[in-house]
Amino acid sequence: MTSSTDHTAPLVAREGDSVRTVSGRTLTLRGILGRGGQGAVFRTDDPTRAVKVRWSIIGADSWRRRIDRIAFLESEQGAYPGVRRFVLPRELLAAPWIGYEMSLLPGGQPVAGLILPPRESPDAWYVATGSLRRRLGVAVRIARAMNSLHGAGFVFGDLSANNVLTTSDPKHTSIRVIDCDNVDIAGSEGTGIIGTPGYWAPELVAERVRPDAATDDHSLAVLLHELVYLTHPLRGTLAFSDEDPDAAEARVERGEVPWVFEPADRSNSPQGGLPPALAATEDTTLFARFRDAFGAGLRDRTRRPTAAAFQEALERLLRLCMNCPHCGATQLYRKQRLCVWPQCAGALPVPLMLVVEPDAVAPEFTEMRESRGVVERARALPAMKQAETAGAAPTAPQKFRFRNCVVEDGLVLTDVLIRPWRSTAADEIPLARFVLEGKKVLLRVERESGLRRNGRALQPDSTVQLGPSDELTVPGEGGEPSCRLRLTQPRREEP
Amino acid sequence: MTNALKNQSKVRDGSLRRAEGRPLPVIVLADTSGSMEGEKIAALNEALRQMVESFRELDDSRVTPWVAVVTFDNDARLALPPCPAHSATLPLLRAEGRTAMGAAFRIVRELLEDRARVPGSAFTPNLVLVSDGQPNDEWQSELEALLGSNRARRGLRLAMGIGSDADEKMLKKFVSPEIPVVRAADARRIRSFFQLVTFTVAQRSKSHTPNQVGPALLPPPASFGFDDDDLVY
Repeated sequence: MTSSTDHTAPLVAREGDSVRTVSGRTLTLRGILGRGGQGAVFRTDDPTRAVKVRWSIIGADSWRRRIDRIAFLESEQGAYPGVRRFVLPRELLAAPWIGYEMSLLPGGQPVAGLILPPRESPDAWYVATGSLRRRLGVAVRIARAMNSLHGAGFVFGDLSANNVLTTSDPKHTSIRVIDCDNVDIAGSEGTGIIGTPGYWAPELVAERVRPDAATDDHSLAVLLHELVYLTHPLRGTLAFSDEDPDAAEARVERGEVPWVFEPADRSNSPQGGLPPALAATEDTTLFARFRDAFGAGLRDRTRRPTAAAFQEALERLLRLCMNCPHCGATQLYRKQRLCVWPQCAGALPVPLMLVVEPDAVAPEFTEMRESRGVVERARALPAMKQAETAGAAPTAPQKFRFRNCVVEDGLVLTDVLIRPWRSTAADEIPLARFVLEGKKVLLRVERESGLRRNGRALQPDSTVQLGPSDELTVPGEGGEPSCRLRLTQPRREEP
Repeated sequence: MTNALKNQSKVRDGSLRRAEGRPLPVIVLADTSGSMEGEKIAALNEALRQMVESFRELDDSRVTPWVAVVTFDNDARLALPPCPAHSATLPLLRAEGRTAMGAAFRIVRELLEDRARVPGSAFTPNLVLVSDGQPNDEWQSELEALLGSNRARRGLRLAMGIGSDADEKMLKKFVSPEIPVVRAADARRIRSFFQLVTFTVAQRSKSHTPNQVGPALLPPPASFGFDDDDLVY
C-alpha cells in the first residue's frame, strides 16, 4: 500500500490492460461489466474472477484499508455462513491501480427485476416470475444474509434492489449480494457514501450518524417492502408535486411522510404495486413489522425492526403461502373459498386434512412442532375428541414421527396442511384420518384424496394399516408427489 | 420471462399497477445538415438508438428517462416530441441542407417552457448538442434566450463537435460551466460520445440530488476512449 495514491491521478483502466494483485497474480482486463460513479468492473482472462478498478482517487487510502478489513471478513466466512451470500473483495490490486479482485459468478439478475412490473401484462408477469411465494423466498434469504453480516459485526452500507442478484429461474430463490466495497466494521470511519436514493435511512440524510446495523435495517426494510408490495414504502402520492417536486422528494427522504399503507393515515397512498390484500395482509406479522419500520422506526431507531425480526416474520408468512390452481397467484391460507385476486376469484382448493385420532386416550392440547416442507400447519382440537373419548382410561402419551414432525397421540389434529392443496368442493372435511388402535396405526381414507401408499393409490372409503416401513405420498402438481410421510415405530417413552 | 411461462399464467391484468418515476428529459439537438451525410448520420442514428435502449434500463419508479430530438438543417423541427424513452420511436434522421441551429435553440426553449410537453414534475433537462459545422442562421440571440430560460440554464448541457469544421467556440458557449466540448475526429467517436451521455444521465438518475449538475457527473473521458486532446475546456 502506498500513501502517494491520494496525490496522483489514477490510471483509467481499459480493456486489454494487465493488472496485478498484491500477492502477485496477473489478470488481463476483458470487457466492461459495469461502470459506476467511482470506477468500472471488468471481466478478466480468468472466467471466475472480475476486477473493479477505481478511477476516483478521493479517499483512496482509507478505501484500501477498508477493503483489507473486508478481505478479512471473507476469510471468516466459516464462522458466519450467511456471509457467503456476499460477493466480497478478495484481494487489492498492486499500485499503480486502485482496485480489487473478486469472484465472478455466472448468471444472476438484480432483484429489481422482481419489483418493477412491465407496463404490459403486469399481473401475468407477476405470477410468471413466481408470485408472492418466490419473492418472500428471496426476501427471507436477504434478511438472513443481512442478519448474518450484522452478527459478524459488519455493516453493508448500500443495500438496494440492484445490489442483490437472484437466479432468473422462477422456481429458485438463491441470492448473491454484490457491490460489497461499502461493507465495513460497524461504527468505523464510514465511506462517505450513504447508499442508494430511496434506501437510505432518514438519519443518514440528516448526517447525524455513520452507517451502522440500524441504517442497514432501514434499507433492508425498504427492499423487503418493495419485494412484497412492489412499491416503495414512502413514495406515495405525497412524493410527487408539479409545483415543487424537489421539496416533495426531500420530504420522502427525510421520512416526513406516512407509510403508504398506514391504516391510520391514508394521505400518502401508493402510486403502484400491490395492495396488502393481495400480498402480506394487514393481520400478518410482516405487515406489523413494516408499520414499525416506516412509522415509529423512521424517527426512533430503537423501534426499527432488525434483520432478524424481518427474517422471522417472513419465514412465518412463507408457511402460510399457497398458489391458486387457477391463476397461479400466491395467497395466504385463509378460510375464504375464492382466490383473492379479483380477476380470478376461482374456487380455492381445500387443504388435504389428515386427522390423527387417538384411540381410548385422553386428549390433551399439545403444540405441534412444525416440520420443514412436510406439515406446514396443524391445529389441535382437543374438545372435539374429548366428548368421544370421555370415560376412557388414560394411558401414557405416545409419540409418532412424521418424518421431521412429532405428533403426540392423545391429540386430534385437524387442518394439517400439506402442500400442495388438493382441489375439492368440500371444505373442512377430512380426506383421510389417522386412527390409532392400540399400537396399530390405521389410515382411513374417507374421500378421493390422491394419497398413495408405497406408490399405490388408496381408494376412498378404505382403511389400511400403516407399518413403519410404509411410505405415504401426498399428491402434487403434475402427478409428482409433493411430499412423503413415513411413520416410525411408536415410542412409549420420552426421548 | 419465457413465453411459455407467460402463457401458463391465467391472471388477467387489473390488480397490479406500475408506478411511474419523475421524468428526466434528454433533449438531443442533432445537426442534420448535408455535411452529416454518410457515415456520420448513420453513426448518429445508431448511437441514438443505443442510448434510448439503455435508458429503458434506468427507468424505475423514481426516475423515468424521457427523450426528445430536435433536428436542424435548412430549418429546425421537432423530430421526436418529448416522451418516455420506453415508448419512444426514434425517427430515422437524414442529412441535407444547411445548419439552422438558432431555430433549434428556439424550439428547445419553447419546449422547455411548455409544461404540457415537459411536465412540471420533471427533473432539470439534459441538452445534448451534436454538430459538424457552423450555424448559418441567427443563433446568438436564440442561444442567449435559451440560456436565459430557467430550465435550460439549470439543466446539464453537453456538446460534441464532429470533424474539423465544427464551431467549437460556439459549442463552448452552449455547454454547462466547467463541462468540456467533446471533439470527435470521425464518425466512430459519435457512438462513444453518446455512451458517455448515457453514463452521465445514469449518474444523474442514481444521484441523491439529480438536479445538481456539474462536471462531477462526467466519468473520466478516457474510460470511453477519449484522450485529453479530444476535450475542449
